[in-house]
Amino acid sequence: MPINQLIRLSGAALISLFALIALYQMFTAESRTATEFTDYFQWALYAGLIFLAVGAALTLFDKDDDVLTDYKDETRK
Amino acid sequence: MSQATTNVYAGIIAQFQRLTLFIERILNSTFSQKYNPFYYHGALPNFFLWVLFISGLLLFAYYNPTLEGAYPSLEYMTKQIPSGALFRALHRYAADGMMIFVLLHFFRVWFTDRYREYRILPWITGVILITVLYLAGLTGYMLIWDSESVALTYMTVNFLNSIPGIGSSLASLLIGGDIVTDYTLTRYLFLHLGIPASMLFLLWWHYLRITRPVTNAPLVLNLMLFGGLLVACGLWPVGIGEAPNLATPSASIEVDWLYMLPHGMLANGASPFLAWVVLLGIPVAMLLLPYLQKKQFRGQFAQVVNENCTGCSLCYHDCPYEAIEMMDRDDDTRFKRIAVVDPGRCANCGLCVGACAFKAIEIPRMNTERVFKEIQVALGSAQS
Repeated sequence: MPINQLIRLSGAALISLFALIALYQMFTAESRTATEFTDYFQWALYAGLIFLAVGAALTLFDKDDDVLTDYKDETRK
Repeated sequence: MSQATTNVYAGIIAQFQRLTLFIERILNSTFSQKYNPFYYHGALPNFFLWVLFISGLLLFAYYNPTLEGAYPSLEYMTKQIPSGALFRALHRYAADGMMIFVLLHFFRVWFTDRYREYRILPWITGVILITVLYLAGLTGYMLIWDSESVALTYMTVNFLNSIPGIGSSLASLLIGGDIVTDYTLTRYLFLHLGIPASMLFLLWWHYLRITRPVTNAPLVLNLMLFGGLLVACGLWPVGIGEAPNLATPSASIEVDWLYMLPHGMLANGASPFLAWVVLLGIPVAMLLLPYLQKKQFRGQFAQVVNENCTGCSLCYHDCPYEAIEMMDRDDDTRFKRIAVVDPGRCANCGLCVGACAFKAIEIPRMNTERVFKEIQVALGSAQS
C-alpha cells in the first residue's frame, strides 16, 4: 500500500475511533444527568469529531481521486 | 533594491518556497490533491466569513451596546440562552481561523511569487483586507466589555495617545469623545459591523483581476473545517470575564496575537514607538513589496503579427486573462477580424502563442524562434 494511502487510512481510522466514542457518548447522554445533556460545548466536540470523521472518510473513499502521485510527476492525468 | 540585496532576498524566498512545496507534498499525501487545503487557501477564509456572519447575526440580536447593558447582555447570552456560549465560541474561533487561513494565503502567494506585475491589484487589496480583518477582530474583543475589554480599551487609547499631534484626536475618534461613554460601545459596534461590510466590496475588488477565482472550497473541506471549529469550541469553551469596572480595569489582558499584536508587545514591555513601527511597518512594507522588485517584464506584452493573423480567435478563447479582443479588420487582407492585445491585462504567460497555429502572436521575451532554438540546444546536449 502506498505510504500516502496508509497515512490517510490511519488518520481516518483514528478520527473515526474518536467519532465512534463521541457517538456512544451522545446516545448515552440522555440516560445521564440533565446538566450533561445541555452541555453544548460537549455536543460541539462530539459533532465536530463526527464531521471530521465523515470528511476523512469522504477523502479516503473518493472515487475521483486518481492523483495520488507525486506533485512533481507532470505526466499524470 | 541593490543587486546584492535582491540576491539575498531571492535566496530567502526560495527557501520558503521549498518549505511551502514540502508542506504541500505532505498535505497531498494526507488529503489527496483534490482536497489539499493548500490549493484552496484563498477560498477557505470565505467559509469562516460565512460562519462569522451567521453567528454574528445571532449575537447582534441580543447585544446591548451601552455601558450598563453590554456586560449583562453578554452574560445573558453566555449563561442563559441555550447554545449562546457555543455561538460566541464559534464566532471567536471562526475569527481566529479566518486570520490563520488569510495569513496562510498571504504567505503562500508571497513565497510562490504570485503578487507582482498583473497581480498587484489582488495583492494590494489583500493587504488592505488583512488590515480590515484585524480591525474587525480587535473591535470584537472590545465589545465583550468585561474587565479585560475595559483594560484593552484603555491600552488602545494610551497607544493612540502616544502619537504626537494627532494621537488624542484618533483616541477621541475611537471612543467617541474624551471619556468612555455609551457612545464608545455604539462606535465599537459600528466599527465591528461596518468594517466587515466594507470587506464585501474589497473582496469584489480583490477578485476583479483574477480570471477564475476559486471562492468556495470543496464540500468535504468545508465539512472538516466546520468539524475542526466545533472541536475547538468543545475543547476550549468561551466564557466571560469579570464585570467591568471603569475605575479599576483588569491589570492584564489575555493577548490574542492574531488581533492584538501591538497590545501584546506593549504588555511584554515594548515601547509604544516600537509597537507603532511594527504595526504600520508590516503593512506598508507589504504594500511596497511588488514595487521594490525588479520590473523585469514591465512594458512587455504579447504582440500580434498582423500579416499572419487570420482572425481565427483561438488565442481569444484560450487567454485566461481576457487580454485579447477580436476586432474588425480594415486593411487589405482577406481576413475579416484581427486579434488585439490589451497590454493592461496581458500576463505574458504565452498561452496565446501556444494556441496560435499561424505564428501570429509572440511574446517578446520568449518568441517562437527562441523557444525552438532552446529546444534544439537542449536536445543536442541530451543526445551528446
